[in-house]
Amino acid sequence: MKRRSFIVVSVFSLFGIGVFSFIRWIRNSGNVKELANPRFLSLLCDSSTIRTLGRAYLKLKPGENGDDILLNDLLTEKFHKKLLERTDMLAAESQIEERIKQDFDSNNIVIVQGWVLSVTEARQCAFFSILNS
Amino acid sequence: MHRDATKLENHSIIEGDICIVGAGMAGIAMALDWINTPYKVILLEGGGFNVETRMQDLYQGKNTGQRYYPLQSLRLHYFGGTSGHWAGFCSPYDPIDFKKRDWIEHSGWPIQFNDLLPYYEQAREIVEIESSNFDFDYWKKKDPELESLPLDKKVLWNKMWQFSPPTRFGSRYKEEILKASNVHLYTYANVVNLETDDLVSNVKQVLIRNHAGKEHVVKAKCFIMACCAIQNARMLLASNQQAPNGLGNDHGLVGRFFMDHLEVMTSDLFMPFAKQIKLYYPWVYSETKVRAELALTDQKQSQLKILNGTASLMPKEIAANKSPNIDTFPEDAVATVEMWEEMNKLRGHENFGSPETYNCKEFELFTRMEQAPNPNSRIRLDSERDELGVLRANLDWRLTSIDKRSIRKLQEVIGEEVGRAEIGRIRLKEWLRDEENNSDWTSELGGGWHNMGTTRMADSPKKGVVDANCKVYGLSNLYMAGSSCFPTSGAANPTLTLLALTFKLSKHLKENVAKNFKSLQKAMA
Ligand SMILES: Cc1cc2nc3c(=O)[nH]c(=O)nc-3n(C[C@H](O)[C@H](O)[C@H](O)COP(=O)(O)OP(=O)(O)OC[C@H]3O[C@@H](n4cnc5c(N)ncnc54)[C@H](O)[C@@H]3O)c2cc1C
Repeated sequence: MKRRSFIVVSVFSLFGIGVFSFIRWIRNSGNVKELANPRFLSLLCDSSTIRTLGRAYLKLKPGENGDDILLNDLLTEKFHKKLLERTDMLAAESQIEERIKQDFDSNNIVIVQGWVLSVTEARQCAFFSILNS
Repeated sequence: MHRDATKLENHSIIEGDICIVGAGMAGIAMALDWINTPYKVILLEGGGFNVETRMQDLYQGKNTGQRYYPLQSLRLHYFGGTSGHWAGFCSPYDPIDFKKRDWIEHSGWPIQFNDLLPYYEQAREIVEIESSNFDFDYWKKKDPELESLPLDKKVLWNKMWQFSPPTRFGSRYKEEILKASNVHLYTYANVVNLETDDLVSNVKQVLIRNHAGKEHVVKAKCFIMACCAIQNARMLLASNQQAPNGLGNDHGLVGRFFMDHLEVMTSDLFMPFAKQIKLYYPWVYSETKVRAELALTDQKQSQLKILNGTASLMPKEIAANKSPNIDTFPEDAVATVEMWEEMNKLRGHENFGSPETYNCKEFELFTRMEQAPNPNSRIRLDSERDELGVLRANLDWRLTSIDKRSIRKLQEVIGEEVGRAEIGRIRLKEWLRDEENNSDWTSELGGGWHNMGTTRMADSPKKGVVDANCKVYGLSNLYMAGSSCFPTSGAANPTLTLLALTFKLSKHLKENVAKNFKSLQKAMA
């Protein structure tokens, strides 16, 4: 682990700051905003539609309504680390793309306001709506 | 040979070996197939050679169920029948359409796809399409520009369609019929009643009438009703002198199971990177030879427990200017036929543009879904009579929840597929979004003008009106021709298949029935 990340992680655990604060800490980071952007969908709809879809998804799944929960769902442990390292964001993004593809492959889809979406990209919309609320 | 029944002496008796009632697509196909045989064929056509309002009025009836097209203009009552209306879209039924599917009540034909296969070639010929090969790979070889979307073949496949000119049977085959020495065509010969022997075991004769007030009798050894699905049922029900519930109706099945295809805009498809969509490009009158619709595989239908269906891609610009068929189909059949003729003259001058002219990134999906067989969807006799004294038809078209669920599922599957292939996303139309609601329909829903099922084929008289040879149960010499015999509606338009079935019936009659005509005549005497 790089020295800087090690310090950050240690500091979190030292003060008992959980994932929630971690999210707070990173929510303003441009990188995270990128992760909240459903890439394919944003070619088709503007940001206000994506926000609306995000809100509609959260209505369908109220249990997921929280940036911490969503980020956890969107990113694996590995991605958390990558975020902390603030490196290789492209890889993280493309992993999300891969998850979206896997969702479609495995029928892990959700219909939000008529859109047939991968659950991962619906969560991205939800995360987007929270970050931009 | 042709006679106008209004000009015959009143109460004439006409006699022949076989009598085909109705000179529409099925009736003409059958008659052509009997030219140069040693049999005298009587072909009875209710109308004349042109569309007339008073003839169409005989088709007037009530729609009491799901919104449907006006009955008086839905079918054409003249020589050539509804080929005067049809658009010429042709594709065969799929093998699964004939099978018993345990998730669809009343599904399963007593014949299978392979039984019909040899007759599709004859059907192809008569509707003047290029090939009886409907495989994508075959057409791709002919035109390498036909590029398929990257679909998972286990989920969706390219169902190919070919387009008849469209052949108008009335004009295209008139000369051939008139010249045939053994085919005796009678126009203005409306069958109003089928009369049986006292035991109601065979049809002795049919009674014909016309607006000139003339009434004649036609005797034959064998009768084939080819009047279209609504009229076939209506005629059986109205022939109730010897059998109070109508002919072939001991089990109350005549007129039931009326089906059409559910045709409607169902979703938006966005494909931001789409370039080549020639394969799916909307049909252009008189230009398009072949195109594909996205169709569900057997495996997927079975897994999702849904009906067969297809979806075609319509560029947004075109869809935006298209009103639902159900809103625009006119009540006046004569005006409609004139409109088609005007369109014919304009052919070659239209400016539809080529696929490249359209923004091919946004489409609407137009779904064509099989309707599940439903005994409550039916034709009954109304209390009113037409001008020739026959009780009018009352259509109660009814849909069920599997119909709507299947339409929704098809969209979801396409949505999953374009998502998986990373080429697009789908947005369902508002009326399809509530998964719990499988009963309310959009007002835009129309049928495909494809009437089917009213004298369905089954392997037992308790389940259907006709047997595997289209013979009416209980009557030794009465046959039904056309889509009234279809037990299920399939996803494709019906005419190619109804013609194949007609040619199958024709062969059966020649090989198994006509050769017994002499002994039959003796027995009937
Ligand atoms: C607008 C429109 C578009 C269509 N497009 C397509 C398409 O693209 N592809 C496709 O596959 N199908 C299409 N169809 C359906 C197609 O037209 C029918 O499937 C076909 O015409 C049915 O043939 P038929 O011979 O059973 O009935 P018809 O063609 O209707 O013929 C019945 C004949 O019986 C006669 N008749 C009726 N009652 C009596 C009586 N009592 N006595 C004597 N004669 C009688 C009628 O005058 C008529 O000539 C379309 C239909 C419409 C309305």
